[in-house]
Amino acid sequence: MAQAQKRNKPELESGEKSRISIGKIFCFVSPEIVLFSILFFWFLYAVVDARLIFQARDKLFLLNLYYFTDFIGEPGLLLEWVDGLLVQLCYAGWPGALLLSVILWSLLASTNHFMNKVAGGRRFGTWIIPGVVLMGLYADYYTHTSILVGTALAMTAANGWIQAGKWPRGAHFLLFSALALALYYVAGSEALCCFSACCLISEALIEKRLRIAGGMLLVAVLIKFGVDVALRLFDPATDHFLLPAKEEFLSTKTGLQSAVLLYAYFPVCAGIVAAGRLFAPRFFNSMSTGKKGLIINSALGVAALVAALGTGLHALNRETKTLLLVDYCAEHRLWKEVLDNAATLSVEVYDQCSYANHNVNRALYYRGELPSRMLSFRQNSRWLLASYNQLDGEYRLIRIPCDFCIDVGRVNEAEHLALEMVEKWPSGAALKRMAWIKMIKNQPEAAKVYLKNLTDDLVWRKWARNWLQRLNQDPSLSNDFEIQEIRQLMIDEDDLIKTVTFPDLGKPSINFSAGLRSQLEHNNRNRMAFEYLMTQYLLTGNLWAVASLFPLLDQFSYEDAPLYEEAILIFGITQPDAMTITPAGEVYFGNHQINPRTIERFMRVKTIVTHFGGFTPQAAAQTAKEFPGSYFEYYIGVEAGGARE
Amino acid sequence: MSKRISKKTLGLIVWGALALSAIGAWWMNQPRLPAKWEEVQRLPNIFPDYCNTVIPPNIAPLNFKVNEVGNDYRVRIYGENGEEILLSSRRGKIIIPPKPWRELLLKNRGGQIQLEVYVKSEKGGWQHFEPVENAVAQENIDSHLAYRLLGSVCNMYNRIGIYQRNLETYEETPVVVNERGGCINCHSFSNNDPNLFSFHVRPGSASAGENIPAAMIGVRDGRAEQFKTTGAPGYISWRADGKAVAFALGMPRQIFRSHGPEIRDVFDCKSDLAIADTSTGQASASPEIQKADHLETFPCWSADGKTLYYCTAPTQWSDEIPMDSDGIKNTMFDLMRIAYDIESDTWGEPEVVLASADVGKSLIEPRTSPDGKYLLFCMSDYGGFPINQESCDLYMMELSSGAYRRLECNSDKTDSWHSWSNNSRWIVFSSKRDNGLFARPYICYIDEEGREHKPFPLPQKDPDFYDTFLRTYNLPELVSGPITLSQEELLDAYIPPEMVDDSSVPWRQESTSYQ
Repeated sequence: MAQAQKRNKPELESGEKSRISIGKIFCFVSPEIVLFSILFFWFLYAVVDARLIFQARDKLFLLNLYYFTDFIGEPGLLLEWVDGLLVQLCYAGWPGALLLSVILWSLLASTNHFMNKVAGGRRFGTWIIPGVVLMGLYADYYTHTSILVGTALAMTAANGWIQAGKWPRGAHFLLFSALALALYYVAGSEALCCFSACCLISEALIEKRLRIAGGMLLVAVLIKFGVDVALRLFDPATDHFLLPAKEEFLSTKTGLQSAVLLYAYFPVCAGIVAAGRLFAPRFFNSMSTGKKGLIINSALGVAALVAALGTGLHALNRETKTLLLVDYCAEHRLWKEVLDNAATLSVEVYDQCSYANHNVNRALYYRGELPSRMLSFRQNSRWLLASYNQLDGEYRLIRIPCDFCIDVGRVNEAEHLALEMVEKWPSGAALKRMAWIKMIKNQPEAAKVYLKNLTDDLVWRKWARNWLQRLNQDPSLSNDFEIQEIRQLMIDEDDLIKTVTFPDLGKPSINFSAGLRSQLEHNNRNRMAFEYLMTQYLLTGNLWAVASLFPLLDQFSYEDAPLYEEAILIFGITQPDAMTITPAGEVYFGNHQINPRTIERFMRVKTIVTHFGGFTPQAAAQTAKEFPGSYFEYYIGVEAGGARE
Repeated sequence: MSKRISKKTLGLIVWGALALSAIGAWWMNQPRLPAKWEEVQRLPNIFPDYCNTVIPPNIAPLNFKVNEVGNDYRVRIYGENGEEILLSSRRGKIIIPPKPWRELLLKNRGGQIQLEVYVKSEKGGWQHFEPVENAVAQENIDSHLAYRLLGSVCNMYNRIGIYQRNLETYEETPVVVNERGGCINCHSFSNNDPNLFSFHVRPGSASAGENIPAAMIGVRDGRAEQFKTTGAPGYISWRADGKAVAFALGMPRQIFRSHGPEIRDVFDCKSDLAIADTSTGQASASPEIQKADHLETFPCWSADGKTLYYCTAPTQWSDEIPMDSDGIKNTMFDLMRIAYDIESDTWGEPEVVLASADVGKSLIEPRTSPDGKYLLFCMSDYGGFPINQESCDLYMMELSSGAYRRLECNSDKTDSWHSWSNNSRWIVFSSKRDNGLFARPYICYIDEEGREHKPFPLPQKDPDFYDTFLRTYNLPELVSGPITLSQEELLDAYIPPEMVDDSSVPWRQESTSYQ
């Protein structure tokens, strides 16, 4: 009886009722935490744009048993599974944002309730720091959800355990052991440490049951090593997909710092709250109750909202967001939006990220603006054509040159790129491309392997089912217009002799320009190959090559191709015989009549160059002022000593 | 009192009802053949195709899926001896219980088993298909299969490992996986012995720019050790007595074809052969198998260990002639053999077994049967890396007569990387017949007359397994038991290059120039 009284002492002191009351529920559903979670949702949905989290972190996630069993062979790996699910839910935006907000709410509410219990009364603001930190973290698109989910599980478990304080000691101890076991297996050692430390602080400092606390510590250690040994002996993972183990987020500086900060925060906070209860109970109680408490609570709530929003907005990298948005729009073939967003990117971004340039050029091509507006954007000839070596380890972006290769008809190169992506960055997008390539190549059985996997992908399942059905009806897909169009662009015999060079005993290297030339030789109506080759030649100043391709111009029926005409007029300065001027003053290169407006502009540029004494910086500046985005500006700028791009 | 009795009675009634319901449910769930059905005059469409083949008496259950439209499926498996197995499924997935299956096969060893499929159509009537007949061979297959599992990789790879699969169950365990990065390949066994084998390891990541020398790890007497070779010792062949290993020191390169179903193509810039005495570590090589103007590769010992079979092709490039894709396509290997006496370390003269010029194909991957009667090899349109060529097929030569023929078990896709069972009655090979991209192991019975029978894929517990499996089975090798050394023991045998004493290895200096 005495023991029971002693055990119940903290609750009696705090004046709490043992039964669950509406007030208690309301306490758990603290309005400030609910408000904070709503703010977090809004931040993720509207400011961060949860769709871009998917764009940045898309990786393979399949809702089937095989995939799941890849994640059960190592403690903490299930958090990776949950992360995959959350990232997929971000594809549609709000579902991901909503679920992340609910998890955040459970973390903050559990923290709040746990700390109140440790304090023996209400303690305001214990949830603010993790809330603000998480808001800051989620301003970064690459933040791994394992930190949020792991801490939420740890604190929910700790809260559950402390709420069961009135259970018989044996049962309470067993509950701790069961929770520790489950937590370690699901969320790993960081979560186990966080949970155990919080429980130990309560048991040792508040309940003053040092022996039990010692037992709990021992159990936690035994669980860790016991589970490790058990999993080593009986590995239940099927390794069906052989996915990379834990993502490397925690090995990054930001990841590690945030993980240490968050996981350590809860036991430290519990320790401080317990110390406050032990050494200055009146002070803390006076701060938490009555009118004063209400004022402090309100002030802290408002401060938390402001601080979190400020942190989130400050931490958000707008250029990263725009870059991801460009990529998102390109992935969904929203070409106008690609160009609108890309126009706001800084020059530095173009210089650092090859895929920005790739996306912009594809958007220009599909909008028919590559021959006219290409130089309105930052260009880089090194990054123009397909290569994954330039992606600096961002293997998920291999899909960008892969798409280009498909569209231009270099489907085997596209397959090479897609296979590299499947291996290094397995994702639904990678499997989708492999399936598409295999369908184009008329290899339906291989396509089906990828499609059948994709039927369990939350994002691509509808697409996959549709194509599976079509393949079952017509394995060669001979009636599909898009596939037939690409098949017509594909070469019908190997052209390695033209495209690959073999350095003496070294690794063979591919010349992709040669590949495009080969595409044009095969099918001279391949507009994409033509325009990309022209772009390559314009950017490298290879006007002879421009002139050699120029005769193909008329078969593409351009309304206007000023950049090509400008280049050919410059070429005509050194090769006047190549141009024909009719008595009527019309200028021809071959059979192509140069647009009189282009000639007019050319004459003006000529005047500028003559006025400033040749290709001088002054001439370049004046040309840039009068004809921005023209090939005249680009060419004279380079000749005047500027960079090639 | 009466109240207490009525409670007891009530309890009894409840428990009795529950027990009866459970028994009823169990009884109702027992598969039974339909009373009436309509005959369908064809074999049922099942996947994998386990129809009319020869199966080993010790193989794991051949679970399959009935690809016929219906909403209830019944299957009866029976033989002349033993109890029949009745199975039912709502979705057509037939999972055979291992114990009755094993008993049925053992009791029908050397006989036949039948498989009858009944499908309930959507209209409600049952259909009965012609029974599938499979022969059960008299001879067992080796209990284990060791293979390499990897993605359909090009330059970059993630996880590559050698795994072993118990053929009598579905248990698959990793033997050695590249958890420390790098590549692991070319496992080879002496006489299918799991305690006498080797594999090639290249730690680190070549794609990350790490240039880490390769090594050969050998296992014998229950421990693993690094053999003193450098370069890239691949395509290893053990003499049946384990006294020597022959290996190729190649310099492989990869190119990507811009047209055709397969994009990858691999060739050796240079390749020579060498032999190592496993007891002394001494190397030996005849100049005939290390010709500078020839590529020599794919060594294979004869069953008696007195002859080394290998493949050779004139190098299509030199200091004067640059390497190009035409040269690669013109590389045609001949099948050769050379006598070797290990006691006196003397070599005979090389002789042509089959010339590529005579058959118009490149001849590669010779593997002699353990009974010494047959030589199984590949023919492909060109080159020395058959797994990437659709044209690659398996051929078998009777060594006593030199007569050879294309095996009927080939498909229109790549069939290669073959291996013999210890009793020479079974072969396993990698085939891309299912989809042209991922190779799967196929098991084929070779009868006493040397005739092959219809092959079947390695059975899996889940019949849908191959539908979604995104990895390829490479180099399946039959082994007579499990490999018991742990992965750590195998990987720890690797010695970093700076710790290896170069002086004791005669061919080391030559091979290092290949790196």
